[in-house]
Amino acid sequence: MEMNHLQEVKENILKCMGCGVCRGVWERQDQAMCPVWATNIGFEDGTPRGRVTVAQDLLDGHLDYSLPLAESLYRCTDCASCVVICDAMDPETGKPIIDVPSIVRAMRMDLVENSMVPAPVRDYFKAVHVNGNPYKIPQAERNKWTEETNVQAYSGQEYLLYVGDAGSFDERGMKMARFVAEALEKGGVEFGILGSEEMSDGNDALALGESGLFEYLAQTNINTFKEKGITKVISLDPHSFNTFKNDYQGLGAKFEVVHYTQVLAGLITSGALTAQYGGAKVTYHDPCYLGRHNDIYEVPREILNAIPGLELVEMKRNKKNAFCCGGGGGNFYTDMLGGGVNSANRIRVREAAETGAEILAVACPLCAKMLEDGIRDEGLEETLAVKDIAEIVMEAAGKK
Amino acid sequence: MTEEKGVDKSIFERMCSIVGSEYVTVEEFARRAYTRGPFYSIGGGGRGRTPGIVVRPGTTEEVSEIVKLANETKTPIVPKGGGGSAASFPPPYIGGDDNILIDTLRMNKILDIDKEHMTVTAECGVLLSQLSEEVRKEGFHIYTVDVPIHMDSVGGVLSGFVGGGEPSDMATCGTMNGYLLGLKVVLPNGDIIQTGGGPGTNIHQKKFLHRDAGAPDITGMFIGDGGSFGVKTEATFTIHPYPKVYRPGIAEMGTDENMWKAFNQLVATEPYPYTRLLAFREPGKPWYFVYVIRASTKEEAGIKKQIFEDIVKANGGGPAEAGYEVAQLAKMFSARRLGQQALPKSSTMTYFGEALVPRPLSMEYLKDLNALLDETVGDLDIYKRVDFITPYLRATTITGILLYFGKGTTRDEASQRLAEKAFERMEDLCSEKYGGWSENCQGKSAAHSASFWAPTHRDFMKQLKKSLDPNDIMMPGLWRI
Repeated sequence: MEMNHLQEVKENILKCMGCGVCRGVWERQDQAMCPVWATNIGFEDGTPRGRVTVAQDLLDGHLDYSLPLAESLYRCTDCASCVVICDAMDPETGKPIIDVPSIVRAMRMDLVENSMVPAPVRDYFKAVHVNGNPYKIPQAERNKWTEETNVQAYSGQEYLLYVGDAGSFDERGMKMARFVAEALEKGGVEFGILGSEEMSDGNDALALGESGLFEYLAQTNINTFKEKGITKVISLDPHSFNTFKNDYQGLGAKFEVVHYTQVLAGLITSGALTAQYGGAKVTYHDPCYLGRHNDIYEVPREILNAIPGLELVEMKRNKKNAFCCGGGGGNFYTDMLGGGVNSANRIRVREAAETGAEILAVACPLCAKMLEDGIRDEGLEETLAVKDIAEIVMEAAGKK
Repeated sequence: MTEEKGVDKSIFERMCSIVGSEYVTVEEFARRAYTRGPFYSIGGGGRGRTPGIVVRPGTTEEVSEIVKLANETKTPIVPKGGGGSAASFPPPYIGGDDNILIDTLRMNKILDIDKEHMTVTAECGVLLSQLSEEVRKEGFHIYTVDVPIHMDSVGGVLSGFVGGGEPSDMATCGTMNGYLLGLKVVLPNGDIIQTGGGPGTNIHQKKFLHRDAGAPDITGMFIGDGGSFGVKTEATFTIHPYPKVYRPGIAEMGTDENMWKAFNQLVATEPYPYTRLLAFREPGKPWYFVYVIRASTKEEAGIKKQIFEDIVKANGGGPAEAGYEVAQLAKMFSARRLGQQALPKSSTMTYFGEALVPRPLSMEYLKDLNALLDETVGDLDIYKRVDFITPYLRATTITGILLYFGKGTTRDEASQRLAEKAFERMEDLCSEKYGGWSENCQGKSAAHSASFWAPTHRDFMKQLKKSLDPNDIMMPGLWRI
């Protein structure tokens, strides 16, 4: 079976000494931890070390790709906790010596090329390919979230607000998109949206190993951006932000991308947005694609700290050590991780509840949905509420 | 549930009925993942044999049912804990396609922390870091091996020597085996026994408070057994009031002579003026001590530190002017991490070659070991090598060399063969010349140790194993006796 992509990361694989530290330590609640390991479901192959071992065995010819192996590999959420824990960095490149997410992605790419993906992953690819989004909803409905808002189509404004799939079609994401749009409007930011011309960003398609689909989506978006003269993009979703910043540039994209929290922070700093909260304790969940993948930890905190009446308290696992909500790497759509009572979102919600915060602040529509589900499953609806940063800002602006 | 493949279908189905189908696999990729431990990259060669089926029981009773099934079908069993053993335990000659591997990590509950009696009872799949953290929350301390406590399970550590880790508190406290009060074990016939006093051994005693009062130390029989006498499922340990004062330090000791004199004086001081002590040096550079003093009060720590510093000074040493390299090395020995994390700038692979040797012979052993490594792996791309000696109580030291292989060394077969040969010769050197015990990365230490047993010891072990395990299903052939 073809293993071309795995061959490309061979040197990375061979450098792992197999210590197993990458799994993380359950009881070290201030350190990152692999969400797959945390579920206590599955076998050693589901741990980062196990995945590298599998990769070695594939390269050495002891194993071949199979559907059960694919099911194991697709449980990884691409959260990069293992990279943080391992902490073995190459001084010349500044990159991790052992980058398990890259190894997993290579195996997923091989799986795709060998037509050996689990049904939920295949369904995701098909939905995105056919519909331009994973929700199987007509593209024409992409701007449904703008009903009863003043949001305009892009027509040369300074920024494009790239809403993304969750922001366009998921109820929770749509709510977040409305708050972000309101906050931008209130801050005087000129922006427009693509509506039905917006395509899925491709971040999760790539994470799931479908590089062909990713390239198609990316090129479509890049071409649309070029045609409309878009040079500045505000991303609602850290997944979009991540792939725009790190993957699109290699495909000829020429636009700047910022996450919406970066814009809001600027508006608050400049005084364009003023806010005051009635008094609440808030904790912030770092999205993996904003935090570990792009090192943006402080901006969302600066916003929360700048709002009088809000008290920011940290979960023990925060910033680069934050625990994944379980929705990364395409798992939001494929739900391959599982976990029951120890599913990643429930663990994270428990960690948030421990802080005594009433608000669990997020900056990602997928995290918002995952964590709201976790709160419901944990029965914490009365004491803890998920709010995205824009929602908090707008609530605070209203109370000013 | 995964698709049934290489083992007898009835075994697979019955395993599923015992633990639930989601905790049984015969998938080859999953089975092979269990064959790996640390230090695989070089010298380890250390991939174990692939088991035929992996099962993850959640209770002692489930383990018992598994063992009974194994007896019925004459299927060998390999128990496995956290997979953190530097000795790549279980060794590569144990197990195989017709074997059951019991992954114990689902049994991960702390069952009881008894503040009054100062004991903790935990399932044996609990990782040492979890055990340590949980008792710490209650204001107590438990002596464990320090590195890598986040990888080693209670059962794995008790079954091996130190479970694969760099000694730390061991310098003065011994291994955690000494603090073990009792065990729950599933014997090779599937029976469940409790050792160490308390319910199950004494009809009136409710707690496990001693191991050897009025009876042989049956608990001790299971320590270091490699899992060959049964599967440990629960353990009770003594815990101690948490020593709140923690004073680490580094001293520069200069020459071999100065370091060694000071080392021996420190070891001979009563009570110990340190909790951890480790001497290390790079070739051509001075020796350093990295040490930790734990104490209940600042006054106690101050007195110990003064005694320590006086001995250092009297032997030509003094406070270290530690630069980056020394600080990193100190971190390596004090941090709960392995070498690769502590020295990320160095290399891609690391090897701990260490052995238990009689203290008075430690420096001589180190000299021999350096010559041996020069001869065997000296031509490999070695970025850094570090000699180290740490006391293990008073009679013994753990002495060895860390090798950091450079980026030019990959997992090529030639390098691996050279390293394997070096480790075999190191093991022989240690055992034959010094009567010591070497933690060989190839996981062959059990058989190697057994090859030096006196005839009467060997015969007794044979009889013991046969009486406990007539079907020879638990780790068959571990000792090769």
